[in-house]
Amino acid sequence: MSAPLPQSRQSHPSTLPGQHQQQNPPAYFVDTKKGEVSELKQLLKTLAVERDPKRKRDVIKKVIAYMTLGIDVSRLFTEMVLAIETRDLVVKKMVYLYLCNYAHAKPDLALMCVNTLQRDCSADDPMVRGLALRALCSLRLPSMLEYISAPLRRALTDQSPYVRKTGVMGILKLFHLAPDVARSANFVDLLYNMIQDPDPHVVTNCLIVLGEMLAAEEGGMAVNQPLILHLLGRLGEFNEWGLTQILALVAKYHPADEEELFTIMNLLDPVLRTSNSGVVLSTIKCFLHLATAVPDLQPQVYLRVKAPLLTLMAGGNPEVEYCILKHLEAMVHRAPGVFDDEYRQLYVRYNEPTFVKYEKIDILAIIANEETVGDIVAELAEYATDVDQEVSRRSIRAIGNIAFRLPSAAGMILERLVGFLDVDMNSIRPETILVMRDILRRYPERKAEALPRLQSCMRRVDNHPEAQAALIWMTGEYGGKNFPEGPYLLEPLIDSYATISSALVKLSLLTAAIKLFFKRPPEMQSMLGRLLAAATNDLTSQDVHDRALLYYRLLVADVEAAKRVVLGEHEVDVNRTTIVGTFAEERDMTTLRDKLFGEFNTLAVIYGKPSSQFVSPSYRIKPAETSLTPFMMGVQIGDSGNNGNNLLDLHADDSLLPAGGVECGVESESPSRAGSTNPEGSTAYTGPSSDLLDMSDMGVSLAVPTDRITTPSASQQDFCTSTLALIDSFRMEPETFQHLWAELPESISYNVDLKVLPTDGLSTLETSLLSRGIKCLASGELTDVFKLFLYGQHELGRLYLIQILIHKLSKRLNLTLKIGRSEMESEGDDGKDRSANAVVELITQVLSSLHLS
Amino acid sequence: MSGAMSSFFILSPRGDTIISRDFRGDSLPNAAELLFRKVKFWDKGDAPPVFHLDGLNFVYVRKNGLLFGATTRFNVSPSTTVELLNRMAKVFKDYCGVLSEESIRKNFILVYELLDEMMDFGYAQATSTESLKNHVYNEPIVVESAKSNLRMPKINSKTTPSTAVHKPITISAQSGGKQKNEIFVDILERLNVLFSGSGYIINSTIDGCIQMKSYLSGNPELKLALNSDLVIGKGGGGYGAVVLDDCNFHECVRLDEFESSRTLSFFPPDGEFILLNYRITGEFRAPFRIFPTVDEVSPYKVEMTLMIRADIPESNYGANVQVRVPMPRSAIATSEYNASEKRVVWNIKKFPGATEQTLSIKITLAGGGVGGSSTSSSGGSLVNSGSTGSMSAGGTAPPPGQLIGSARKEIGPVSMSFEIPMYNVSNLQVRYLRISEQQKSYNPYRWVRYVTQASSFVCRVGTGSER
Repeated sequence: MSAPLPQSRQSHPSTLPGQHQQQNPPAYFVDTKKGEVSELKQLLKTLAVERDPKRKRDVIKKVIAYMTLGIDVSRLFTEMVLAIETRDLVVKKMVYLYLCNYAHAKPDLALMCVNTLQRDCSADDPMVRGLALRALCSLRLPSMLEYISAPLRRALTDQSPYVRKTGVMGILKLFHLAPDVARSANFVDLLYNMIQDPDPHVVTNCLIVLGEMLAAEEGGMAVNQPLILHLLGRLGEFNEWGLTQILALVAKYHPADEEELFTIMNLLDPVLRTSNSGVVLSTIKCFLHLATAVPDLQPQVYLRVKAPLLTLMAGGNPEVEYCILKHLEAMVHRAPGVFDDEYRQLYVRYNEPTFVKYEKIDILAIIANEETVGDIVAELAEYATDVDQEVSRRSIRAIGNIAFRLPSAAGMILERLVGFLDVDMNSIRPETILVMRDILRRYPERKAEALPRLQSCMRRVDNHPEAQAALIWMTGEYGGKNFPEGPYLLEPLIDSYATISSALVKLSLLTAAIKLFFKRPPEMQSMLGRLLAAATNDLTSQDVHDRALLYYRLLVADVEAAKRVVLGEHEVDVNRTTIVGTFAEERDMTTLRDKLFGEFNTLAVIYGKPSSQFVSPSYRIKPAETSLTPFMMGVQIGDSGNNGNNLLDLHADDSLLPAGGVECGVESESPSRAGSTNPEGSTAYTGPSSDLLDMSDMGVSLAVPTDRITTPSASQQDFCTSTLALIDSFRMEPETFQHLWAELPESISYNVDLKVLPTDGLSTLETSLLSRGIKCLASGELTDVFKLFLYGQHELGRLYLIQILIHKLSKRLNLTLKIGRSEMESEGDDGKDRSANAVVELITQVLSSLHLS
Repeated sequence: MSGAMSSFFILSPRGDTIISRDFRGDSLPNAAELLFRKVKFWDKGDAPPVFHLDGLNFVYVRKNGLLFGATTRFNVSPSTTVELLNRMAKVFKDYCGVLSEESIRKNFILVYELLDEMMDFGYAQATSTESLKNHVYNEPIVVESAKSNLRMPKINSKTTPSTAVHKPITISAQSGGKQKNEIFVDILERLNVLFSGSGYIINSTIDGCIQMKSYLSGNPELKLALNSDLVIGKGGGGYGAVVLDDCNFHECVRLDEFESSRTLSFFPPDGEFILLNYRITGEFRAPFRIFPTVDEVSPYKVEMTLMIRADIPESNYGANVQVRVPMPRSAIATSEYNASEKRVVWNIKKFPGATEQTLSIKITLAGGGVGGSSTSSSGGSLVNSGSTGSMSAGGTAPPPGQLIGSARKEIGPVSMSFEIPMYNVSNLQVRYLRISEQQKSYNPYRWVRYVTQASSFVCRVGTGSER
């Protein structure tokens, strides 16, 4: 604050009436300030005698002005305390403001004003009572404690709502000053009673104060049916800030039955038409929370909130728009397809702040589908030439992301990107190259279209090492049969090795050269030799030197071994059929997104981080309460005996399970995970996994199954089977699967007609199933049928083996389920049937969540 | 999830702290400075309105060049905080008359007083202009509304703040008698239209609102009726009906008669407020059409012709029309060409309905040696209707074909700003605005205006190969 001060200080006195203006050079400024403060002190002293109300106001105003500018006027404390004796409310308010600002600097002097404040707390004018109480509580002085309690208690039963609401807030201030005093004084119970107060402001403050006082220990207020119904019944009385408080409570409430749930939703529906975005988002949070109990309702909720969100965005306030876009992004991931048709609303406007533009571009990439992809990519391509480099970079990246998601558009997109390579502007070319590299990683079969065009770029990205490295990598990776020019693309670089400054480029050059060497030895041999010679003598980078040496020694020792090391297995096994499901980073995001979704309408969504990462412990709400986010809904319903919808529980647990783990056909089991598997099918719920998952702040849900296991009563067993809790860490070898499949009888066979075939192969389906604990052993696409072999293990050890066939022509899905009993289980076909049905239901649920059926 | 603000401040455009209030003593002493520095030197583009720094969360909004900032340590709802800051700015504006550095500085005591009534311990209390009246005693110091020629005329150019009357104690009688009973209603539509290079509309939306400013004494209940055939929700409505995609309402509005007769009833709060926000994405007739053509005359010359047609009735006109055409980076020229922003700016004070205007721009690209910019451009003046301007672009010298190619890509998109008084595109109408039954004797002045404004009115310049 120090830098801008001189300016403002000079300009400020002119705004104060009745004072002469001094334009001193800055060098004398310190003296001037001292002089002026002394002058004020003198003025204040004479005022006490003079009693001219207008003059008094002006002088005190000047004191406050100095205070605002950061000038220390605490020297005037004594005089200001004397000025408190006045009937002029304007002066009183200013003096209170002063007191609250400097009381902690002059605690002894502050005691001088206690008498006046206490007397004012009993004044006739409710305004004065309120003001005095507010000031008294805001002094933040422990020595004041004994004087606060009595007026505070009186205030809570004051006739005036203004005094009551100030009193309620006073309790919170007292709580921060001396938590034990506030607790022992039984204020919490008092506040719970005051929620019945006729004045909505008083009620709002009660909710605020209880929420904050109980946050650390009980995770906020306790919610029950009468409370919620009482508040919802009075909804119309509250202003928007009161509404957000109430809505926050509703978002923690679990309705007793579906009827109540719909009653609440109907009550809240009109609130979606409010023009306050904070209120609307709070309402949406309630809706999403309530809808977790009835999965069928979820798509409807998204549809319902779509229009209000877009209208709020159109309100012409970029800050509001930004917050909504961030939440929209979170929802778009959750509800694929819902926002697709409104993609034009996300087109960038030329005069928007860039924080809005960036967000829109990112969302466009997520909502593009088969029908809109042409329009969206064409639009994004326009942004690629934007003057803002980040807009340009993001658009190109977004186009690449679309290609990732929509294989059918990959060809068109690649063509578009190749076109960008000719544009000589900003960072278009380097970014395009980076994106093309990633697309080729995903669709290696497209290399023939892209590679020839890269040739001309090599020299044009000299100043962008990352892009150049990507080009070199592509040359090395794909420069085999289809791209005979490969070696000659590298040659000029190898020959001008000395001029390359970036270690990154050198490293990729080394790797690319050796890879190409194995593919086209005659052309590369001499080049590689020159390169290795140059690089082993390169003293600028240890990494380059070491890698060159490693390659050299490998080649000297055993060329065949070198080939295996360098090219790895994927080159050996050219005809692999399984597709890598999702890229690793995508997968981690799913878990994070689930976490963030639990913190809907908070800063966590804006930052893209769970609140535990940026909120210091003393400001957090107790984790136990966090688990009462929508995810835990189902458990509650299940507990209350409403087993009609028995998959709810599963849903609740699964959203917390990591989506990580084994991909179909790819072995990626980490040792720690392997240690926690239970091939014998014992019932122990794998404790360590809860740490692995880093779920500590979401906690509880993982603790629930553990509880169940420690007291395995009959009813609980029943509960478990009906809700199908699958063990995440379970793994099965293909041999075991084959063996069991041959051995076991068929439990159930089930047919369902799909609306559409899975668009992106089977990866989305597999990922979704995996997130529910059903793993894929193998999958593949034949000419007329998709085939999946899936398995899962129940907590109690029961094994599920599933075969799914999707006939392309008839779109009919045929599911065959076999159940392997664990030795722990007693006989009982009854339970088996039920769990078979649960599995089928689970899978149909996944299908419908993907809009397949 | 909710939480309190730690502190609040208002910063001038230069970063001076005009108002600063610490609510809970848990902010950072230099929070205002931190915010300003971060906003000013954000690494990529404009600083987002919410960010985290040193354990503290910052939220800010910009209003008339001023920064309204807040800090918090809680995991608050960002939208609620942004809305709260917007609301505070609105209340300050209602009380001070205008929102400017000068008015806030002159009324700083009033602003502190308002702030103390609106916020307690960092939590929002009463924030509506009229409920605050009972608790606020300072009189506003009137500041002349700053002349801003860029903005459209806002509802009031009045210098009397809306709250200069009805002060319980401190207000003197002198201003009380003068108060006129009047209410202003603006139907304001902001257009977002995007034309492709070949002239068809890629995207078009209307963001509309009904904005009111009430100077009515006694807050009587009002009824405002809209088109009776108004349809809400896409896909409905017969021929000629006004179809809104969606709308939302101010919290004072009661919708009892809305479904049956499209009538809103409400007690107007004091000061400026938005009664209704609406959004239309259906077809509508764009008030202006833009037709750009670019010709390559010779290897070093590009000629651009820009024809603009006003598709509005003759009785209407576009005011303060400005057309901006970005030019190739290396261009240097004169007159209407703004060299620092690299674009041609064409101003038309008044653009009558049902007419056409044409601008042609001759762009000369420098060939030959490096830096050989032929700055000897005949600095043609750019006057509307058929006149020409020319400019030359200098720079390094790639082969001519490529030069033209990349230079052409840098021309455009053409953006246009305008306002059309007494015209609205959607045809949404205020049928009547009435005081409800009980107070028949009361007959205030009612001003209803329609304004159409460009929000983002853009035409891309075709590059031939595209689409």
